[in-house]
Amino acid sequence: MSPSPHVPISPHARLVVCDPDLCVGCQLCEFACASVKDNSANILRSRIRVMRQEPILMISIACRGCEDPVCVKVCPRDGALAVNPDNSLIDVDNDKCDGCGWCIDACPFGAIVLDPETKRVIICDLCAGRDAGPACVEMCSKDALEVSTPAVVAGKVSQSALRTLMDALDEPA
Amino acid sequence: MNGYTGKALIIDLTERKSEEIELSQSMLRAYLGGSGLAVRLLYDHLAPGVDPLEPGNVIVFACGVFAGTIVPAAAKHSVATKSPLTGMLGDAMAGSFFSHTLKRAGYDAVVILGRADTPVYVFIDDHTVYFRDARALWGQECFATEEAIREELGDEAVRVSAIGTAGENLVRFACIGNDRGRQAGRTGPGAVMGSKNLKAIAVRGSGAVAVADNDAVYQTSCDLITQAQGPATGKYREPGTVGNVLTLNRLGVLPVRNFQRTALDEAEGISGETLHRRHHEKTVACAACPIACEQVMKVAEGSHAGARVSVDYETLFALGPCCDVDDLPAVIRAAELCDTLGMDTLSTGVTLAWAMEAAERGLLPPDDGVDLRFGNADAMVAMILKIARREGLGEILAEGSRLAAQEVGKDSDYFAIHSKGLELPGYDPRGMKTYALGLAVGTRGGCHNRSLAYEPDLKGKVDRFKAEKGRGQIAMAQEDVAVLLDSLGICKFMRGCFTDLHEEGARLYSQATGWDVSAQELVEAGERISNLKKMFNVREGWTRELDSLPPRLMQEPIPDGPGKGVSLPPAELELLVSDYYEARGWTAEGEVAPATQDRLGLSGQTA
Repeated sequence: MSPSPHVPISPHARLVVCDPDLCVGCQLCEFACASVKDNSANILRSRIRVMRQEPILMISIACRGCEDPVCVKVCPRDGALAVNPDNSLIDVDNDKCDGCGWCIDACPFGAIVLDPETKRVIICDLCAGRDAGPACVEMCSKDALEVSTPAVVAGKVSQSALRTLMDALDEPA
Repeated sequence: MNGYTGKALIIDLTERKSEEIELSQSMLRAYLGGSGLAVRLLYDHLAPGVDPLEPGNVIVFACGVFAGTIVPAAAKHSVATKSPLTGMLGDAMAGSFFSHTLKRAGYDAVVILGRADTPVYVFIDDHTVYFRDARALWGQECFATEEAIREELGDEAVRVSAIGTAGENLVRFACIGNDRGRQAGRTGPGAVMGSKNLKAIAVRGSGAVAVADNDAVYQTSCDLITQAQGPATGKYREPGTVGNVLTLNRLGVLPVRNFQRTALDEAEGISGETLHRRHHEKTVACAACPIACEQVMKVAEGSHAGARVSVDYETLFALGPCCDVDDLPAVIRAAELCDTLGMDTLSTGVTLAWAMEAAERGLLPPDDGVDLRFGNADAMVAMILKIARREGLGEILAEGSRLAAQEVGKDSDYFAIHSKGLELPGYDPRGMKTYALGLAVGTRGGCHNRSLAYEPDLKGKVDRFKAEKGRGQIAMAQEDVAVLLDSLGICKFMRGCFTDLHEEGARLYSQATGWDVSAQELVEAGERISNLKKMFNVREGWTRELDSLPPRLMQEPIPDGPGKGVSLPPAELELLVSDYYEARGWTAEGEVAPATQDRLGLSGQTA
């Protein structure tokens, strides 16, 4: 499932998605992100975050690439956050951002964080310009992460629901 | 300082105050971290001869060297104290996120002294320490305590090490739970926390652990992560260590019915494969671990419906074959109870097996409503609760098999399966002679994990049925590898991913710290730490007769299976133990010889 450098990512693929059944909650994605993006061992600088709830629920969350992103709307520093026209993710202008954190509060997924070193917000950019694609996806040894599109994700959810239904029908009454 | 924070936190519960101390480069290089650092700090802060459950005892938590960094499967922390179960070195380890977080809070170790006058928990919020009222938490289970503290502090990122009812009630094999399913399990550190009125340690760490060469550490880690997807870790990924049931049964070293037998006639029903197939719900990993060995099992239906816990081999052995219980849902329920009440599953199971045998022989007083006998899963589950609450027979069993047998008398110590008071793990030492030696001389008591001496036996590198000279050297080398991994904080399940642990470990250590450390230095560090552990025990009154095994295993030959007829008479064990002392450079009486102390920089430290 991990994208090989030889397979180009679809231009429509614009978010890192996580399969919670496969995620083991190890946080290696966070380490990969901080290391590759900032050459830092500090996972507080990661743009992807593992949420781990008792005792079997865990998932990594990065920017969801909302169509009409609330983070951009609430930003009080004119134009510090903007939708990237190429991939629908969020560009952060570090000269304008002052780390006020309104976007962090507003993001419904908790996918925006404040970089403790630069005091500017950081958001997943799919490792723009990195040939091998997002470092987190490459790192995930459980194949829980992939770069995908909302349409592909929706298709998988439908398939999963169908399988659940089939299993239920198979079970003896 | 790179790799390390260079600081330890000293917490005095009696005075409710704390202070930071500096850890020097020379000390850290000599004792690394994890187990080595914990034992060093314990040795320095503990007055010899104190009762383990009195305020004078000390508990040390120490992070592995690479905690807080991307180095894979290196998230172990060590807990060292004077053990209430053995009276010797208490030496437990746990994985998951606690060590990463503690280190990011700014500490390589925490040393806990004294006793609080009322129940407290300590909250280490980066560099600020709070003593918080834990009276409302007293009586709560391990995981419930974790959740309650996170709720109270309002932060999901807070990591908690907590005790349950068993620790509060001073059950001598009480453990410390952390991260919703991991335990510093053995030798009873939970009871020491209970004796100190310390319900939990909560940590929030928002800093970063700096490494000297981030690119190099990242690349080395990526290589190790790739290795960890290969055959070296295959069995840990699926079905997990529980796969050992069938392997050990085939080899005739699976202890059954309190070590009365060494194989099951029908092992399939209680095997790890069956457990996995019927009950596996989710695979979980510790921090930065690419293996993910933790297999959460769940019972869907029947009287134990809803039971959910991760199960590893030792747990399955102790609560399964050792008690002759073949009811997997009951084993899952029993393991869940042990984890939530905060008791070591291994000591619990093996102590219960002793009690079942004693009860069948008519040596135990009857207990209201609990009919202890082999195979009675309901009695096992019921008695676990009574142990944690010290009710009825539980009052005796909460003391562990050694003290319980002393209390009951009538030669019941003949079948109390422990060494130095620590109940044995799930391998029969009669059919594994190198391992038998490792168990007998272990500083924390009978333990496979500290000795690693089962490896040459099971891998066929030696004749496992034979006791001979030369095993001392092998057992020593294995033990020093184990202590090195425990001190680096690297999980033992990673060991197959290194071609040369000392070379590659030294390279990684140098990349992280920026210090130029050689493979030889790591070899010596392992040896130094093993010797310091021994010196700790000697200071606490160790004598040679403690380096022994249970009478049953030295008097009865293996009754069945592939090893049938093989025995381990005392003279044979003596030969092995003497050979080990010689290999270590110890005196014939087993004390660390002055020349050995000098060579390792340990001289002048015996009280």
